[in-house]
Amino acid sequence: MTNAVSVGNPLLELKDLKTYFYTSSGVVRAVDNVTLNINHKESLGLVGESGCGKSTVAFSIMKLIPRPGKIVAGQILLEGEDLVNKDEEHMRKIRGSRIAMSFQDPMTYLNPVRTIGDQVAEAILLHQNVGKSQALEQAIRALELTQIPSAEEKARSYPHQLSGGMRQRALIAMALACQPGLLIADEPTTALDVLVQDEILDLMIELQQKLGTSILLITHDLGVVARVSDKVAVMYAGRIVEYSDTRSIYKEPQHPYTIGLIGSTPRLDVKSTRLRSIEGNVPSLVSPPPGCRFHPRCPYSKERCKRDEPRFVQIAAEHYVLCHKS
Amino acid sequence: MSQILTRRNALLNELVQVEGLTKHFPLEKGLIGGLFASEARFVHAVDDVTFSIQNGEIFSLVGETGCGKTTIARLILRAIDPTSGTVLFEGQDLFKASAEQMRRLRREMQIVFQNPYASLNPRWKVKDILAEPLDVHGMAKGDEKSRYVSELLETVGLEPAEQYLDRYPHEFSGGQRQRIVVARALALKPKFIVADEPVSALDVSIRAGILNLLRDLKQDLGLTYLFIAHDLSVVRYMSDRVAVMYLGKIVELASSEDLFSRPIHPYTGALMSAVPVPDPEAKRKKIRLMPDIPSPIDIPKGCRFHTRCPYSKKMCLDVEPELREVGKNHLVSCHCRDDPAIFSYT
Amino acid sequence: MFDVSGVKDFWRRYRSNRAGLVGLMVLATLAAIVLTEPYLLLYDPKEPHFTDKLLPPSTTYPMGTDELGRDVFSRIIAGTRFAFLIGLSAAGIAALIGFIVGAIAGFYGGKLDDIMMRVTDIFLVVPTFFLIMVIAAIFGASMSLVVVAIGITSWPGPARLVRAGFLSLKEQEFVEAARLVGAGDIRIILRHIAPNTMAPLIVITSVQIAGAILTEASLSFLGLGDVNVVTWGQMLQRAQQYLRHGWWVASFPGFMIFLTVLAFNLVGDALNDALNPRLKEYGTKVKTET
Repeated sequence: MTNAVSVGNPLLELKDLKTYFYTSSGVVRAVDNVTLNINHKESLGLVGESGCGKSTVAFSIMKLIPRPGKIVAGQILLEGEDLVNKDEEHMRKIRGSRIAMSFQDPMTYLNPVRTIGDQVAEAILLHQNVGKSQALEQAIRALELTQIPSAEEKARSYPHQLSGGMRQRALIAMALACQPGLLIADEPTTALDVLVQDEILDLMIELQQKLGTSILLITHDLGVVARVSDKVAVMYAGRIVEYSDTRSIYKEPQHPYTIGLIGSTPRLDVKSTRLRSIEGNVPSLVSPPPGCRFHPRCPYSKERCKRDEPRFVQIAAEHYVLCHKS
Repeated sequence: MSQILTRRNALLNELVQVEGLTKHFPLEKGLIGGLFASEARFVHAVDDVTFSIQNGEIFSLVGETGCGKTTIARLILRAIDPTSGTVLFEGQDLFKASAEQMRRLRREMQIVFQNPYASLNPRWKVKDILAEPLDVHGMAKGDEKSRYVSELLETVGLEPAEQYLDRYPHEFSGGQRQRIVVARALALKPKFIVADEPVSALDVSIRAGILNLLRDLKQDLGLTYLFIAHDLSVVRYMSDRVAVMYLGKIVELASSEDLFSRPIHPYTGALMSAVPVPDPEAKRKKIRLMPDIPSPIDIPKGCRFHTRCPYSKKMCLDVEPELREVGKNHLVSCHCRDDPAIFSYT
Repeated sequence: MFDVSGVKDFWRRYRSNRAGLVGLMVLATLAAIVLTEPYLLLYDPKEPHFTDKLLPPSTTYPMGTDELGRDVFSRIIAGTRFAFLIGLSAAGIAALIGFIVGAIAGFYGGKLDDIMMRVTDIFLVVPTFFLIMVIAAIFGASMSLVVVAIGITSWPGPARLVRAGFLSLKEQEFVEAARLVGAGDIRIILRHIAPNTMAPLIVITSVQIAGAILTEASLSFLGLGDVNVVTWGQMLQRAQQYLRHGWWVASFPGFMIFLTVLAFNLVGDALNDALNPRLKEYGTKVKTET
């Protein structure tokens, strides 16, 4: 349990969020007690590997958890309003207009038989009281905002006529069409080549500054997070294990998992002599290890770690670690 | 005659020699297109590529999607045939080899694929997967085979072997599967392994384990690698020498140290400046490329990079530069290579 | 190549399909009947009892007698064996031919594929039932002929499935890996790709068994079956004239046909659902998720 972390009223607060999936193989505790804040105009990077639950956090916020999953406990406060108990109709008004999401694989999330312009305009038509032609105009402007060259021409194109990078921009344009307060970007650059990735990241930074949009960036890439985010939350086995501003996470990582993650990432600017990998495998979310979930893989684990679940310890002004060590 | 060549090349210590390798894939014409198109169109995947891989080194091919690196890998393994050019493996001409010779050569060169989920037959047990290379070449039988298979598992860090032999690939994690893939690649005791994006599909914390495994195996077994990746940081960690590819051609080739500390080609510089580094305070100079990305079907005239190059001059539009030596064993394909003052990427 | 954990998973999925379970139970019962046939026969199925013609069901004759005084119940029992025999043989022939054609077409592609697909199309276009009728009419109707005829007209379905499977699987990396190890075509076809095409083949075969039984029944009904064999279809054929005299002569064989065909269809459907998740195992996960 942790206390609210930032000064000023946050845009989004997750409090003790739990999202479980009730499958035939058991209960998958994908998100198990997650507490997070995102302030206005702030960018938070949610870092973790596959199976840690980060995408589930995103879908929980959007209340798009498919069966057999459901939000079991906790609160999702969007500017103070709890979304957990809100019904589908209410959520539809929020999705696209106040919180929007973009995804890793644009090809899957773009309708292949509709033009880009139509798809971007759809969000506008749903949330704003404007006519079709005006919506299309706004759509073109949204596309221009994402720096798609010849936006008007591209608006008339179909997804398959665009390159991977442009499709990702189109997805972002769709998400930003109604200027939401929060953009959730789920692995926006994973499927892209490095040069295009660079451009998309620059775009995100620019959009954040221009539009004042907060960004929840979900990724497994530590480099991406270092570029774009103000704050970082590291996730492991359904829990946040470390939370801090970007600089502190990289300069003074505290949690053994964070340390391990950084130590196992090869660097471009430095020739590493030998990378250190983290022993073992990601635990099952159905039957996670008792006590601290990371203890089987932790080089510092003690007896206590096998028994007791750790609690959040505040290291510095805005630096929290879920570990017994401190 | 070929025996003399073989010996000569063995003396030169070059395991693989690629010369003028070219591969053009014909484009499928639609029904209507076929009626109206006057000439066939091709995807220029690989264009006149020449390099060699030394015995015992890790040689990397780096580039973005579509640069031709995977095609070269498949050509070197003779999984596909080239449009033109030669590949010599231990002095032997690969594309002129007979079926029988190829069969023997296959024992010397193996591959580690990118996707650990697709490269293992889901219906075969691990022990059968590892035994297959031995069965195909009739190399071992019965007890000897079982012992060898267990040894292979232990070599890649999967012990005790009994826990893996009778199970199916889907019961294991990505990292474990990739180790099985490596074990299979080692089964025939090859000299040469092509690793095509071996860690791209794995989780970050697992990658280090596989990369270290590959490095250790090279050391212990005296292997040579062709390492293909798009992640420059990984390439820097693994490689002795690196070739950067763009649109089917090598634009820069140098030792890992030289390439990463003093890149010369603007494309290399751009790639390096675009890689996000896990250090929020790192300051790097940004090389911005023009957005005009050419297609591999209509290759630009002159230097194929000129449409994106911030330094292009008149010559670059007309004349294609050659890959020439600039520093010690540092080759660049660029007209401005003699003006290194233009490029300072750090 | 027996996958214990996979079998458990499969069974769990199959179990959740109630209709499939019902079908399975019916088939199991029928199979039991076939195996215990000698003990179940009350009378010789072919033995006429001229004094007991067309008797309604009673304690002596649980399902009544037909127009020659033969015990309907015993004939039903005997017919069960033939139903299975015909169904399994015909579907088996179809599956075998279909596999060979589909595998070659899918694996080698190109001209070979084109030729084989054209042949398949021809077989699909020809009205197979009439073809069988013609064959039966010309060559005389014997059980084996009927079975073979059904088999060689039913293979296009399996062929297409197997071909589709081969087309997609031959591009998979584990096939490329086998090639790079030096494996030859036969090895790759039989040991690598074939096991992965078994699932859809099993599903379609179970449906084809049902179809074969129906086809035989229809042929017999039209008088083209093998008169010397006791099948439900033959029973129906006889019963046509005597419907007014007794409902039992036609109803029991009719019901058995219906029940058996339904059971195989239900099982096939349930197998399809239970086997499908496996097909997702290879190839789709490339990027990290969650």
